[in-house]
Amino acid sequence: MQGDETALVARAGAGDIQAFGSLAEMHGKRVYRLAYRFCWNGDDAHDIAQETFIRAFEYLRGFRQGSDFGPWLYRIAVNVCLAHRQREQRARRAALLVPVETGGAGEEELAERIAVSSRVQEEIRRLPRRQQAAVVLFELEGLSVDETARAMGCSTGSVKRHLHRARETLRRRLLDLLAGTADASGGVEVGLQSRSADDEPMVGQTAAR
Amino acid sequence: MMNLWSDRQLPGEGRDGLVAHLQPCAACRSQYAQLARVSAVLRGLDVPDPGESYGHILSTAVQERIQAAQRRSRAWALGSGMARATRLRLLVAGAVLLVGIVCVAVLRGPVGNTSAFADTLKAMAEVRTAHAVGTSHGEKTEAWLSVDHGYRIELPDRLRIGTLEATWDWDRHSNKVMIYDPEPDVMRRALAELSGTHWLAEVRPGDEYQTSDASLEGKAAKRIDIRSHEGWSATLWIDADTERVARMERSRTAGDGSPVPEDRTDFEYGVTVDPALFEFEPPAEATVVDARIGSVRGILDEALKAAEGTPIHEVTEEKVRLSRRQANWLDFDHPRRREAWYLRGVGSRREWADGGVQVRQGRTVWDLGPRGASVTETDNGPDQALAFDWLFSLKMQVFPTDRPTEVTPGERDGAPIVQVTSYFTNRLTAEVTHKTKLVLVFGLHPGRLIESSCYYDVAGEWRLGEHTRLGYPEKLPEGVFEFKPPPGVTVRDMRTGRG
Repeated sequence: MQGDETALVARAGAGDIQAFGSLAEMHGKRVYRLAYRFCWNGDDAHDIAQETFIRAFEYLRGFRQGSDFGPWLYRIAVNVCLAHRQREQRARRAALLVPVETGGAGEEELAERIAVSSRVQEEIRRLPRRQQAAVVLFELEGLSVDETARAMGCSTGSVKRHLHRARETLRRRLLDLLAGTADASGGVEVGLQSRSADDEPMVGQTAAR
Repeated sequence: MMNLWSDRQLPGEGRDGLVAHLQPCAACRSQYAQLARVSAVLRGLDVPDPGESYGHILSTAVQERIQAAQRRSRAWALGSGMARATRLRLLVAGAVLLVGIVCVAVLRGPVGNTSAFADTLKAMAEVRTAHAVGTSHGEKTEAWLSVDHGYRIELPDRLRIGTLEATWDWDRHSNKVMIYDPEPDVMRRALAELSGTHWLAEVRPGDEYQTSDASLEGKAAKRIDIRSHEGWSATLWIDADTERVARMERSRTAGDGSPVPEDRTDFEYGVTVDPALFEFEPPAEATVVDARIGSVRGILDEALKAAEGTPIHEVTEEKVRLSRRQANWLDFDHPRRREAWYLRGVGSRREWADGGVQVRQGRTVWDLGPRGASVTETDNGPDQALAFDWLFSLKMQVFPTDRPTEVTPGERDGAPIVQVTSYFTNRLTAEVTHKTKLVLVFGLHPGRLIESSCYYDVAGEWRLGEHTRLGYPEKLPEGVFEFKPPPGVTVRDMRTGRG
């Protein structure tokens, strides 16, 4: 698989559009998911995904053969997402539409879920650009600190700083949603297990949530 | 240590140490719990699956954009070089292509041979500039469209020009000019006007269509025949070389049962289009009706101004429309509609007299009607959909007059209200208009619309037409926003990614 990808990248770098199309097919869904988490809108996510691949094709000649294509592509995607965010802030688009799992939910529960998701999405959007990128990549996409740093083009220390500031901001702003968690000793073990260093997902293996 | 844990970088012994510390320390335990909850909430945010074929759709779109860019780049290399504005136009063309692809995705049902629509839409979406001359209703039609400017449709008795600023519709017989808000996507509108994509958009599950190889003026072509259960049929020929629509025929049935043919041929693509075609100055002595939303927006502004300092100040037309429950609603466009429920953030539910039900949640719409059930995905969520209903009804039917809006404070059941009376002309058909008086009653505590009455001028007297009282229930009945197809009903899932 890796060998296939390397060969495709080489062919695409030489101008083979079909080979590049295969790369787009392989990575398209993942870029879409990332884009979605920046804009929370399917149409915009599709636009961003297209723009990412168009740019990637333009920049492909500068791609170092032998490097991993996925993280390189991700870095372009993050830049496109951040640029999109700037444009969006200028235009301040229409209301947020919130996708939620609806299966089996009662009316009140559904309304509650929508409200919570909408609120959290809005708070993520309010974060400074780099903090938003760090949260999306690390917390939502499940990348490790190293992978996040590569995707953002900065140091791991910088990623940690962004993450910690973002978490603190979110914690402060979402205090009302977090009510009832002041004493969650029963959840400590579960939380720690789910955060162990052993189960860090690798780039390209992020599970759908 | 907690930061290390948050970053998934706390090894086993560190975790033990953290747990040991958290047990007796309430402050750290609380902080930890909140951080854990933040992470849990973030992980709970879902991304809708774009579908199994998404990678392929994206790949196709990207390849086509790259190829188009390369073609243009080669063409520009022969000219004066690539201007920035031209690059922007290329992006617009890409967006148009995207529209086509989205249409394809939406229209692609579970039936195998729906690619006929995909091919057609794709062929149409690639149009950048075009000029078509043909006949419609037996008369000559000329249409121009340009990504850069808009569209112009010329009929013997009518001229329609659409740009990013507005749509002008000139009825030459009455010398009347209607100005509407622009279509959000000029190109899409132009394609609909020019090539009949709106027919395809009307295609329902159960319509018949087939693709075959054919010949058009001695050249190989793909022929697509569509037969709608709503009574119209259409045939499209797509040139095998250019993959663009070369001819269209449509036949529908007039009110008296006679067939009405429509035929468009002689498409030219990539033509140079004169920008002046898309400029419009109303002819001398024409009656001009400006029906753009901005021109009737002053009504609520007046009300808000009059009620300044009261809670009504917080009322906007969106809030009024989007937070209400309507009962026994009978409106102009849908005389069979009997009931509509709406709750911001949850969805809408509408019921019809024939047992039809439509439930919207987010972008998903479930429809149950006499012909079966369907699930579709729309561009708009319920908020936008309902707001659009209202704006559309205003736009199409109501136009302001010179008579000023009257704002009268009052009292209803011991509570303060403000009554806003506005005067309009009401366009029932292209030729028939009525004078209309609209009375809106706003409650002030809390500030929201509670009643609307519409009066029509009949022989100089105001007669009550529609009257609506709005209720604001504390709690909706259970099950209003749940939908399960009844047993035995055939369900076609038209959502993107599921077909």
